[in-house]
Amino acid sequence: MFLTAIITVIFFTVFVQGMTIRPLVELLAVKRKKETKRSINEEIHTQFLDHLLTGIEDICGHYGHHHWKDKLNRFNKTYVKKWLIAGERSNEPQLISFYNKLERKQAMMLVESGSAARLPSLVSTASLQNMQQTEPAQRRAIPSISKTREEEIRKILRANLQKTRQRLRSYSRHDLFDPFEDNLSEVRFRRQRVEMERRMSHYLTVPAKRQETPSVRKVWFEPEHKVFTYDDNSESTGGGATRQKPRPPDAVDLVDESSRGTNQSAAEGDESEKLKPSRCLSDPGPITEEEQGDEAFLS
Amino acid sequence: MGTLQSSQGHSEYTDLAEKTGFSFEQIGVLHKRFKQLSHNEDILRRNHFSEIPDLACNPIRAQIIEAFFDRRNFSQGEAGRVDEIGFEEFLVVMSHFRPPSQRMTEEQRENVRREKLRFLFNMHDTDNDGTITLEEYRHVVEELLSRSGALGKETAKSIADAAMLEVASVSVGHMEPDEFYEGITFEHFLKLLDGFEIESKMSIRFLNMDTTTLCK
Repeated sequence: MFLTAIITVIFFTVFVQGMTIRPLVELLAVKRKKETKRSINEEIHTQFLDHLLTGIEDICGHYGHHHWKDKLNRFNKTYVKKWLIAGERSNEPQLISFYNKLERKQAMMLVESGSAARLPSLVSTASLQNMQQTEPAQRRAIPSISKTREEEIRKILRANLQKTRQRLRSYSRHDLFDPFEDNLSEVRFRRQRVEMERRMSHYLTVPAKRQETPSVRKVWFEPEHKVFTYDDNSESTGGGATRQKPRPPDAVDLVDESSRGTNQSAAEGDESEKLKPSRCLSDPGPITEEEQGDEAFLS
Repeated sequence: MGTLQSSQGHSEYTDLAEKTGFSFEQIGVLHKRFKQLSHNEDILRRNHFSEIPDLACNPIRAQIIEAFFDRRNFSQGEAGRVDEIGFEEFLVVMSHFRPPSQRMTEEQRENVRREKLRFLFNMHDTDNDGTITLEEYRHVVEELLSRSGALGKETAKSIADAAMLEVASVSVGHMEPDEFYEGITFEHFLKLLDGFEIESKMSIRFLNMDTTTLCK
């Protein structure tokens, strides 16, 4: 009898209440908390306010909320974080970790969206800074940009690898292995990695000439979708690491010019691929289309 | 202590209460604290503030202390710094941190929000020119991060730059690459922190302050 009661209560709480809570909240028009999509200014000011209010409380002598919160934070920082978080991150202040997270998110969005309109507002903050600041500041800002950019690029590459690994795992049971095709696609895969990295390093060194970059990004958007073959992670990372030759700028210009021509077909190929990635393995159509584009890159 | 308080009478508190909106008990408690900080004098100086032990661990203590001596926070329209303040000014500065009352019209709430943001703006704008320049904002971020030690000025700079850019994009819209964004004016600042609900965040509950904890 007791057992039945327990089971009934659990079921009721989980299923009935869980399913009806959202309609109820909407029905009763409960005021909801704003979904936090914080900007960096808000983060700065939140921290600032925290410290300010703690200071005012100290001046008043009143042991209020902020006082205890601050004490707990300090304790957290000096003892708990040191012991529980490994390595470098144990000293990272909140603002910097937030900033890093934000940069990473922006880098991800760059990779995934590839829309030209995003560029000015988002990632080329560094390059925009270059333009907005005066000359000596420019020289100063460049070394710091390359550090953050480097980190970002590492994250983008890692993210790409992870994505491909995921995709690969999900396809491993379904794809039909054609040994000849495998070799080809492996080679293509490696080539694309190299291309991507080359283009990344070019993107780094050239301060944002905005007309150029949209096409660059449209261009290297494709390699992401082409990676349908089996996992070759160690090989790919090894390949990527060893082949980091920087390319002269005009070569990339040429690439951009030619890519604009193939952009139409490439863009369409992209769209269809986004929707039906599983088709591409067995379907030779889109691949051959992109092969032309790919060769255009390399020439 | 109790007799001292009752002998002062409520008459001088009435106009203070009217001006700042505190209740009599709150004013009494704060007065006691004032006396404690200033060692029973009538005026408070900067070195009195530096004697508070807890304030020493605060990364922005210099700015907080400056805010008390900034004439812009005392009344509208004046500028400059003073070196000593009396109880009235102390109370006025404290009144910026009162929580908004439950029943307030939209307009009053807007006024309260403006006032609080004005206080914050004055804290950031140290040279009284009406705008927060990039340098000043950088200074703010550096102070905030000053506890972290060796993380370098460059990170602070890049954070400040990113923040400025965001303000620029929010208030001015799309900017040409050659245009230089001079500084954040108060209007931009208002717009920036619009969704921040500052009237509830920037408030200390003075009501529940009891006198026993004040001995330090």
